[in-house]
Amino acid sequence: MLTGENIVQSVAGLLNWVYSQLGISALAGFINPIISSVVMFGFISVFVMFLVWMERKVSAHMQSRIGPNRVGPFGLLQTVADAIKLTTKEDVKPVNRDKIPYYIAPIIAFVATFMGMVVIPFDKGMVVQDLNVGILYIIAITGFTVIAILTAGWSSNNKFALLGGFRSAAQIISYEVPLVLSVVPIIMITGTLSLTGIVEYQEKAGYWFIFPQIVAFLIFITSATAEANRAPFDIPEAESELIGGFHTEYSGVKFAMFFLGEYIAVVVSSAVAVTLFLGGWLPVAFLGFLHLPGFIWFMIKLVSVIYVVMAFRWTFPRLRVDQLMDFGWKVLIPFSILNILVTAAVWLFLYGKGAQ
Amino acid sequence: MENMIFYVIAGITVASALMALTVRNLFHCALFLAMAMFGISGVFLYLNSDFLASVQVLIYVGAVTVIIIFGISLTRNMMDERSKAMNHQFLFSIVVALLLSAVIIAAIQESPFVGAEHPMSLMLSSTTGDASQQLAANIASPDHPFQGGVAYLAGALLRPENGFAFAFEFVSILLLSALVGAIVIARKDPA
Repeated sequence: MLTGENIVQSVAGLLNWVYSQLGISALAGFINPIISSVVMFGFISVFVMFLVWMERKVSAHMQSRIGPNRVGPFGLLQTVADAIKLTTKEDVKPVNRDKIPYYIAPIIAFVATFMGMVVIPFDKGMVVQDLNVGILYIIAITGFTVIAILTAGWSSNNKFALLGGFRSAAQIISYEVPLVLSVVPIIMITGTLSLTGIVEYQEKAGYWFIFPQIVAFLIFITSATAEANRAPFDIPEAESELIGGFHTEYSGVKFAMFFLGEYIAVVVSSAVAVTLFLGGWLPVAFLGFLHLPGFIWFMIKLVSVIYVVMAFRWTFPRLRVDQLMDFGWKVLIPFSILNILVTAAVWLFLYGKGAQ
Repeated sequence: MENMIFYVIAGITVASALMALTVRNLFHCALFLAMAMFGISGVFLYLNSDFLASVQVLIYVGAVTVIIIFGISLTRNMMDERSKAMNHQFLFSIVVALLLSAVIIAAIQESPFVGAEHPMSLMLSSTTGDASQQLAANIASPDHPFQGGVAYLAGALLRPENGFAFAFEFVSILLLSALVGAIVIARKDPA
């Protein structure tokens, strides 16, 4: 049967043969991660193009429109055309910008979110690098986007951009707390921080964590949407108030990198949600007769979660700043702490001291 | 080779720390500070302590630096190139900094890392096989200094026989009181 592990092993075998032909087998440990990162980069670029198309189709559907339908079948190539347009556009820069920070901000925004993809297990063994601290690593490395956004806002030398940057930093810091706290019960139950380990625990246990941990799932999805600066939490770039927020002064390729980073952030947080709460590459129980490979199941779940996140955007109106802070600090954080306490108590009651 | 990696990481860290001290634009200082913190997490990674590296990035880059940027952006004259970088306490602070570095250097001399072979050197000398598996095998012995995984750290901190459990709990209460204190100070009406 075709599995992600088989594919990875055959590719690794092929690469080893190439290395032995070239006489560089000793360097395999350094070249292989580079190759898998490049493959991941190619995948994520194409996938984000598909997601942009999907977002426009979903929004069109929800607003009784047709959406992109001119370029390619069903308008599928519309995003390709847009990407070409963005890369060939004139790069308009403010004269009084802070030159180097202005230049590096979009790079940090893109790289920080892309680095989160590195530990996502698409299938058993189908992961660029399975870190022991996977989930912590994702939360830490995606935190860099705050610095990128603040830098972009500051270096643009534009009050709207600066305001957008501040709003965003306040929002991301506030929602990072419930995001981390909502993951804690899962780590307590499984006893591992590795994403592969968490999926394997769900395989062994025979259930997905969304059932005992529905509260954590809801908190996680809400905070992840806020972290990605997406509506209804998009006050950092609220078009009607701040023109475009922190990326007001960015155009062309630099804007494209912020845009790409935002979509990768959605992919990363949805992929983490799938891994933690929806069983990762495990098949859906009552559809197990289909015998699809694990990475197909993963992609089906991933696109479904992303669809829900997109549906949020076109369903709910934007929150005001004070409502946003109230919701984060007075609703999400108390509930996530309560969830940790209740989970710990129930697990101790059910399994005693040596709960694992 | 593995020493080269260390020197690159350390060079970046020290250079950006120096830049954070000397650059006159406060916003650039904060960015260099973030880079120095990131470099320190690289040192943790080099010492095979992935948990500490992640936490370093999460707290110092993701939170502390952002708060600093927030703070200096809301302060006046932050872009003033002529503002003085030192005040009358600078001699005293140099003495304190030297004493602190003496203590840290003394502690480093005592650490089990001194003279230990880095696990990566074995990995580099091998010509075949899975690098990560070999790395895991190299640090399998429980008293190996390069064993910095999260489970090891949890045991070292929280097992009562190691004697750090009380300090650990004490620090968390300290942080909690700081949190409560911040809320009390930030309240508008002392009702």
